[in-house]
Amino acid sequence: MLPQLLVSGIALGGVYALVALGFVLLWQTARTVNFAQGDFLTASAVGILVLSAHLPGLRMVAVLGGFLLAAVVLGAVFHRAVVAPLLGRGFLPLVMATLIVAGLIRILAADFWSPEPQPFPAVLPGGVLHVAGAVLPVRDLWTIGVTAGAVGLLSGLLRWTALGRAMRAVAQNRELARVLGIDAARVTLAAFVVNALLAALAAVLIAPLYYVTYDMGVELGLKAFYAAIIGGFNSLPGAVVGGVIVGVVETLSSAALAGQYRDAVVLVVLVALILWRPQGLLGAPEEEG
Amino acid sequence: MTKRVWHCVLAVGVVAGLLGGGALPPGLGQASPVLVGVVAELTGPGATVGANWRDGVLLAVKEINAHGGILGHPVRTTVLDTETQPPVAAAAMRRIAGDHPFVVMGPVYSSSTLVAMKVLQEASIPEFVGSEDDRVVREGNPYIFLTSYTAGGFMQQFTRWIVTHVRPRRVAIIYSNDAFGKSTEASFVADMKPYGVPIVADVATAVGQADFTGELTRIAQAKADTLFVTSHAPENARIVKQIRTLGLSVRIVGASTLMSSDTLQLAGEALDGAAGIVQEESVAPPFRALAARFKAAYGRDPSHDAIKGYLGMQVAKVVATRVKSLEGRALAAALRGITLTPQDDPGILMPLHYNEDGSLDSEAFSVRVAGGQFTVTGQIPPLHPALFVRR
Amino acid sequence: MRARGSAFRTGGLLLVGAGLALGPALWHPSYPLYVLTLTLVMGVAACGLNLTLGYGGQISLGHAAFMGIGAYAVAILGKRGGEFWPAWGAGIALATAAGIALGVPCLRVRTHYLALLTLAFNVIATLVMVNDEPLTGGPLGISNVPRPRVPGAPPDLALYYVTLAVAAAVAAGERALRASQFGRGLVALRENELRASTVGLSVVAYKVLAFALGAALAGAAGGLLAALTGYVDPTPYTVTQSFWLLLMVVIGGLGHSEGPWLGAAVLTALPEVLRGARNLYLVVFSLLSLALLLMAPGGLASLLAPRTPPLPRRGARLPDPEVPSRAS
Repeated sequence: MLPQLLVSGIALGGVYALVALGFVLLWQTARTVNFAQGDFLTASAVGILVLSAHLPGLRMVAVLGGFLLAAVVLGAVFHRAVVAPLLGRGFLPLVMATLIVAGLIRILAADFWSPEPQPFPAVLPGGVLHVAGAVLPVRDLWTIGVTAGAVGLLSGLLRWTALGRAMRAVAQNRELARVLGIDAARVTLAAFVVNALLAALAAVLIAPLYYVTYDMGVELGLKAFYAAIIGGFNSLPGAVVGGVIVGVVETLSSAALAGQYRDAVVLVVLVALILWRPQGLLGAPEEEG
Repeated sequence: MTKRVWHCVLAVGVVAGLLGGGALPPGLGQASPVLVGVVAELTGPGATVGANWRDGVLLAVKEINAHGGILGHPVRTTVLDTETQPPVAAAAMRRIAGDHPFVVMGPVYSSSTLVAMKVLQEASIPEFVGSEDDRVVREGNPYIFLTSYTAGGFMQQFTRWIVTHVRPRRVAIIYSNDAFGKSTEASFVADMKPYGVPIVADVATAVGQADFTGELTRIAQAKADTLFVTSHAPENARIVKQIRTLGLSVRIVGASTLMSSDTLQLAGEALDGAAGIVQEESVAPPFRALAARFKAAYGRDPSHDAIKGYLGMQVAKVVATRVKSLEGRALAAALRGITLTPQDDPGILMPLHYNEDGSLDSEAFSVRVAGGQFTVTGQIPPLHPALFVRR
Repeated sequence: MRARGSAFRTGGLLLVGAGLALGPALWHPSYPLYVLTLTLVMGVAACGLNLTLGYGGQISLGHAAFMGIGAYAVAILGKRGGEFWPAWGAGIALATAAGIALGVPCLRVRTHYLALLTLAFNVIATLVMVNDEPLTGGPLGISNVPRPRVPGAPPDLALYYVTLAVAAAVAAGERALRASQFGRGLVALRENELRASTVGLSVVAYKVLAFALGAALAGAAGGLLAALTGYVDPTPYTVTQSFWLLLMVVIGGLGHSEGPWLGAAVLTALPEVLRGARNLYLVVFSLLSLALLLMAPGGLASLLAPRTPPLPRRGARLPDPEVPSRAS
């Protein structure tokens, strides 16, 4: 049974990691925590479903339209209306604003889209593989693969492109970056658009399993938050490691003990990890600002 | 520029909020309207059940008004959100009590019902709730009326059915670790004891959980031949799908959260072969016509809670008509021990009986899923058939 | 200018105080009285968080759990036949102990890891509330929670005045704290931890005390909330509610005296007032909250009293343009 538990745990971890990447990305590029990250996933999924309903038979068009909508609304509009006015005004106001946006997305989804869970058509082929005596749905393999690919792409973006380096400079010291000639506003906008696209990608991969419901982002966002902290908030590969740890510990605890206190076990393990390595497993110790 | 936009939002919002309520338009028609308060979970985790409850109540009100209202008065509704939080539910209940409705419909969550029922009791306003927990009817409140069996009552029916029809030798249960799942599990375990069938695995899951490998592993290791799946629709659908993916051979049984159209829509063919009993589901014969009307009005099948809301509203109307009064004490007194049938009023979709404690008794139906569709396989008598005999 | 500004503030406070003290005695319909009492209760809890976070600089994402301890203490002791007052005291003591117990390990950990620790505390506390049915009544909790009894007064009104008295005491206490040696020590600590410790301030003691006091206030609020609704269940004490408390303090003004009360008014009373907007009321409320936050990132209190700078916020990278920089 252990191989199955590990395989499923890793697959679950891949899901958390994909959402956690958004947390790390925004930390690296804007030094902020977006508590609406999970709900961005919800919004993207709902957007795709609504478009699909209006474009029967044109599923890929609806998906692409969903990505575009996400980039515009969850990226550009969100940045212009909420992020830009609050960046640099202290850590908490912006973070709290993302919390309000999270709640708003949930309310709008429940009231104006649907209070009931809806199925989400799978974009990727189904079927199962048999790996090491365990059953692994092909879609889970895709999720893990896409997550790994996303880590690679984002790391490359941040480390080797001019835009990426500009993003990191702006995050570390906005004023200095401006003095050096970087258009801070545009750079941050780019970061949020990338984050929105990441959320849409996560939605496409995760929604077929999770079904689309107005509060699907709550648990996902929380678990992804744990994953990001465990991996070290400032490390993209760390988010993957963190996600896998959360997923595996969850699955193993479910098998080993009565389910009622399972989340407690997971948290105790995470807390122990943090007390052992306060900067997270792969993170670099950050100077306290 | 952005700041100015937000200033405008602020101004518009304040105006909209404060003036939006204002004076509600006077009732239509000659007679003054009667007020029905609808207090339900419209946001928060309970939105799925509360929104359905509200839609069922509102459909009933629409139909009642189309047939002349209650005692000649048109029915008006005020809908208040509890945000799935007991302190907010308490506020909403106090607010609605101040408007003097003749009856309040809701909430559905037992915790919200428990926190606020005294408010209505003190105002002598009858309350029809979607709650099912036995605790609700044990508080000695003469104004509270359920719209279904209690969880305990349902489990009595369920365990009797499972032992006689499914004849399991080793049963397992997987349930959600919240008020609904835990009370179902407690009643199930207690009611199965006299039948002597061992419960080999008893597994709790978190609400919103997506992967059940750990839980299903334990169930497989316990070698259960029958699994009672009683979480919420999305989790149930995922559990059932994973059972198929993992290749577990176990008979799947369940009640209203499993054998419902929303679970079927999510689980698809993975649900084939599942069986169970339901009291108020759109698949059951008495509710098919309602389901069609509900679908025409809202574009989806009515859930368990929608049917409860509809039924409760219709019962309120019928009893008010019978006692020719809208006065709370008279209504509450008349409701206790009442037996109603479709002959009394077409809105009463099935024969039902209100017990002294406010719980509802009626027949139930056994159902099965085959080929992606529900089929009704039998009828199950009420808990106390003798009470249904009319004097 | 300064004298006029402060006279305006004092006058305003007196007016509000008089209104709160006398108004309900004259007119107390059930619904507004409930909302007002609830707002004051949440204000007390928010004051606690303001102490821990705004003064002590300790991010606490689990503050609702302290409220839960206070609330369940009143309910559990009440179930065994206890009266309100001793149960309330016990709840405050327990919450304080929990605050100290949580504060100590938190000293070793920094910002977002502190967040995880306090989050974990809250999640575990909630799980205990949900699962330990013999003790806590499980997910459906405990009904018939005892209330403070004031002979001769109708129970709702009695509870309101008790809450008002507690709120007034907390507000006065907070004022005294700010001016006291402890308060000034906390400020010094926030501005420069290293320097403060070199002049002999025990960093550990001050931080733990900030946690403990914050927890005590939350525990007191929890006990009052239990009495107000007459019912406890885990819902008002979950992580979601902790975030809500945090939002309350930030919208009101972190580190300002009036902050928690303004925040409580916005997050507790405003949605009820907006119910007239029917099914849009929460959308309107969310947009209004966002607008308030965007117009006053330092909190509403920072708008009202621009001449009293708040305690400097940890982690702020740039000086808040609305606050004049401190000379010292």
